[in-house]
Amino acid sequence: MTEDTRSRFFHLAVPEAVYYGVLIALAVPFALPLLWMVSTSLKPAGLVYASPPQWIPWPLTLDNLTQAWGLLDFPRFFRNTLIVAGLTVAGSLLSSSVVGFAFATLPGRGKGILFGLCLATVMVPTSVTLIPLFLLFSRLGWVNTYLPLIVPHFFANAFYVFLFRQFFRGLPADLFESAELDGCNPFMSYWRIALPLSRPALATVAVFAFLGAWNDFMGPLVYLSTNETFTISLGLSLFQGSHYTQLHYLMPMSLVATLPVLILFLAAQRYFVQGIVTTGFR
Amino acid sequence: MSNGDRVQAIHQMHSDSMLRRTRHAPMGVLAKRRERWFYLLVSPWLIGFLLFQALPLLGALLLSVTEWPLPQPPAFVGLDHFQAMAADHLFGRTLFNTAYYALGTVPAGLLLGLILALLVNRRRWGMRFFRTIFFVPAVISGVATILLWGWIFNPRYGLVNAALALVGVRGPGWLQDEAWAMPALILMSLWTVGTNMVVFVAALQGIPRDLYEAAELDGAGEWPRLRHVTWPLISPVTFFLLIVNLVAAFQVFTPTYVLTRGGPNNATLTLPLYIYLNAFAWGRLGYASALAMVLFLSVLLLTFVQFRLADRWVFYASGER
Repeated sequence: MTEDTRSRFFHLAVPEAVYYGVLIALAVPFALPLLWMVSTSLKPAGLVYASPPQWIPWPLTLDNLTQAWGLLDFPRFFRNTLIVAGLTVAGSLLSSSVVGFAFATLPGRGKGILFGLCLATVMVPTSVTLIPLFLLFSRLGWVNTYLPLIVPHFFANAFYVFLFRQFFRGLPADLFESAELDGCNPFMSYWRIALPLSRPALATVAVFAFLGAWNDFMGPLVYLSTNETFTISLGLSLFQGSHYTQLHYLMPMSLVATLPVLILFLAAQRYFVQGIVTTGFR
Repeated sequence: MSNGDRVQAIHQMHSDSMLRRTRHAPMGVLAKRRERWFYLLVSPWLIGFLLFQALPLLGALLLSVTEWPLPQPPAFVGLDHFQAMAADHLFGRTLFNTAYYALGTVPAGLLLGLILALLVNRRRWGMRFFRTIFFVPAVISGVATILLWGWIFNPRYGLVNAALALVGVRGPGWLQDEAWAMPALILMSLWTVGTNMVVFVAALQGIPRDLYEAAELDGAGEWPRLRHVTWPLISPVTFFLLIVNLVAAFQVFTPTYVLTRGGPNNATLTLPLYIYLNAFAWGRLGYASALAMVLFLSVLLLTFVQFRLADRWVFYASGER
């Protein structure tokens, strides 16, 4: 087949229907698990184990959901997770944006090396530094508090720094120059000019940081030891350990743990995707 | 005076005043002041780097040559832990498992991510919807969805085997079967490939449209355009994702801890899980730290090799980076 006929083939002979057919075929395995989780959460316990699986939850019931809710102290887990995630977001936004601003707009000897070093830290797996960090935090008396989970986020994260730097580099440079000539110091032009303009980048980092904290498991597993301090993910694993066979409780619990992030993501999706695009992985 | 003119004039004034300033006050003073601001504003990261990354890394190195049975003080043991690894059959198993997982997830994840990105990056009806469908699993992935997958892989009640039964295949025991547990974890990880897709989409949208138009004028079809325009222009992003995914694969912990605890018969015991168990379940801090050094060096070595290989396939347009 020549190049020419082939391109004609792609343009004419492959109809829209095939294109959408492929997309739908690919989308099914991505969507089904979540639909299954919802369906399982809303049907009577007896039907959860039906074979072949029953997709429509009928008769519809909230029994599993309410019983599962009572088995674990979910309100407390939610509150704990929100505290950790909220402070993680605040710390990440403040620290990473200011560092990203410095890398994007200010001169400095060794800046290139520092930035390279910052990016290189992405390559250090968490389990490599886990043991010394645990020893450090236990020496400080921080074990079984949220401090080990929160404080490091106030010292910038390489990935977010990169995102903010890319974003600030996209802003016109004379914006900051003229502000400086008007008597602003770099911190003021960061705070008054750069930050208000960087809503897409802020939204992107906020969502990333929130999801990271919400879904984190290793951190809470290592640092939290009493049930009252547990986050959602740790609480769920606790349940899994003790009631492994009770799948009809597991699904509603997973649903409850997932819904908040799902809603957050759908609400922020526009900003989020736009932020990833404009901060340029280009 | 129109608004645009006014802006122009202000700009002119600013650049004039800048010129005057450079003439009167030597630029050095201003530059030095800005440089001081640079170090001040960068310091949150620098302090965090020293405190939470450089220092612990050094600590892990020191711990790897000590024996520290916790109530007692640590003792120097040289390379004993590394020698012990050679005799530890579980160590060999974890290396194999970790490599298996990385080889199973990274190339497939990149390819699938790119395919999905190419499919949804079109100006057609419903693309935002499909993008969301593919991305949502990556966003919500955590203990909850890991437990969900444990249920999906359940040999008796799970969806996967129910689907296989429809076509007359008797599905394996998945997470309970030594041979199928790792493939199950790999399939599970591919469910979160949406992150790669979104990054690829961002890269695709950065490709100037006129390049495609020029290629089309030259008579290039769909495949040559993909091969000679799209691929080279997104190769830096592909490289970025390759490194990030590789590091992520070497960090895999939560699914193995939550679903299998490394079983059945150590089939899913990965290096990070083995490090965790040694340190926090068996109290062998020294040995765990030696393992951590092995993990660190493996990632470093692999990244180094990738950077070396990058010259052959990663294309940087002139003037970029």
